Amino acid sequence: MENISLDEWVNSLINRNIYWKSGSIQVTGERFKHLGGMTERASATILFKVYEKFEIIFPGEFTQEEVLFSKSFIFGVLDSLTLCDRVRFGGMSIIVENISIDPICSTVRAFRFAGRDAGNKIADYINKLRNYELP
Amino acid sequence: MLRAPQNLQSHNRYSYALNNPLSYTDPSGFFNIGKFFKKVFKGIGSFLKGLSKFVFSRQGLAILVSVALMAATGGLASLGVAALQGMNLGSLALSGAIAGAAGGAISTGSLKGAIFGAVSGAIAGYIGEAGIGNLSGFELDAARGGILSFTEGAIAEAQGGDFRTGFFSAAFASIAGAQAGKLLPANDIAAQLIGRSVVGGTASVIGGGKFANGAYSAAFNYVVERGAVSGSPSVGARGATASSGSTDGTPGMGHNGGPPMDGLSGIIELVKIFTNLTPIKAFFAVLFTPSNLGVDTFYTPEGIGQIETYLTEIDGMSFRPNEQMLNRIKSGEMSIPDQNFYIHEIYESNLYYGGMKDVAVAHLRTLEHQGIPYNSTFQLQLYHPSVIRANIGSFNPAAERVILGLE
Repeated sequence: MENISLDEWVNSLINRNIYWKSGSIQVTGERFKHLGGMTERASATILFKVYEKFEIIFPGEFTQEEVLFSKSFIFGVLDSLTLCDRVRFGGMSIIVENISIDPICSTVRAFRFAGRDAGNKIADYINKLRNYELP
Repeated sequence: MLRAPQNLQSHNRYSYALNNPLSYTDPSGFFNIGKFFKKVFKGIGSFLKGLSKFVFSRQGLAILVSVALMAATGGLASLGVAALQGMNLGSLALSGAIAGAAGGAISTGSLKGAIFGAVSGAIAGYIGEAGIGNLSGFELDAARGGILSFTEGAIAEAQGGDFRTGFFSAAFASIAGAQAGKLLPANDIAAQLIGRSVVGGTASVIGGGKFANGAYSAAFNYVVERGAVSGSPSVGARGATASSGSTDGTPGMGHNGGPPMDGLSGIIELVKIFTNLTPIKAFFAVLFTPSNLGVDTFYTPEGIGQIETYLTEIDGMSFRPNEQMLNRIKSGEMSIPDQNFYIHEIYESNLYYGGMKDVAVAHLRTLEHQGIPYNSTFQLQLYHPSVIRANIGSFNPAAERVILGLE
């Protein structure tokens, strides 16, 4: 990756070839961390699947706060997937299925970390796939 | 039914108000209002008469001045705790001087006594901190006894007595009293009471007084000491300790062979206890504390180091607001959230290092200890608004809305 230019990297992020042609995975990302003066707590479940374009879907009944935290969670997922060269941003769909908010300990930052946890789980799953196992 | 059998007029069922309608009224038929108020006003009159007589007497004025000085001493005494960590010795000498003046005025009721007390208190305050700061055990008791003895001797001289008698009496009372207090079981009130009474009585005899007076004084001191809230009166203001003589189980000043302990002395003792109560000391501490004093006193390098170690251990100090709060504390910021954060981390880390490895539980226990309600905006109590504003997204949205003025 270090051998390519930044422009090429950004371009590949959207258009790179991927091994995983279709299929989906449901993952839950969590964050529970005590930080001294406060504790961070966040959890959400998403359905990640290969798709023809980039797509994010929130359930329509989400409150304003749930949407705020979900967005932060999605950014966390993308943080992790940026480093996974088997994922093409231009060809995936993320559906937020469930989000768990703690009225005291949930923060935007906590959901970002929870999203990264989910993204790492997706990357681990994809990286373990072998070519002959691809659908 | 007769309302006043001893009054013959009461036996006449047809008479009104004891047959004296010019003096009394009796609307209910059971009670003579005039007589009642006559007694009440007579009582109030007697009280005011006695009070004015006392206040305008020489002794009464001395007491009033002393109470005012004691109030100031209470404030300085509370600063004395801080003084151990940062206040200069000149301040201790000043504290001692004020305390000594108060003690001298109480003891002798004269300006001369106050001046003697002030000088000896200043010396005691200075020597107390400069000279015995590193001592402990018997050596510390002996040093304190020496300082107290010097002060008591000077006061005795001011009272027209003998310096030597005051000196030896106080020396015995201080050193023997401290040792007796330690040797006897701390929680055995009866043993402590008897032991200290014997020491106080003996000290009184050495000073040329009556055994009973010294014993009663020592016993009284012990009882009021046990009743005091904070337990260690005037840690830093050694002058106050030396001249009041109410610590270490030593008899109070002026009772070692001096006048017998009467109701007045009891009131003085209670005033001293009152000025040592935590809320009173806190009030005067606020009154007298310079704005930057807390930098040297409330926060300690050891405390800051402990917090830094703890936060690094549990999170690698990755949470930027924690780092910013710690920087504020290091620079001596003393807002409520700064102080709360410091106390919180010290207490929580103590629980953690004491074996409570579930930090989330330790966190909740600490909030409970601090009296901070655990709700969506509790973070406002622990993080300064500027820190929250600089890290929007890191806190509960409800707390952030308050900081941003959206709620």
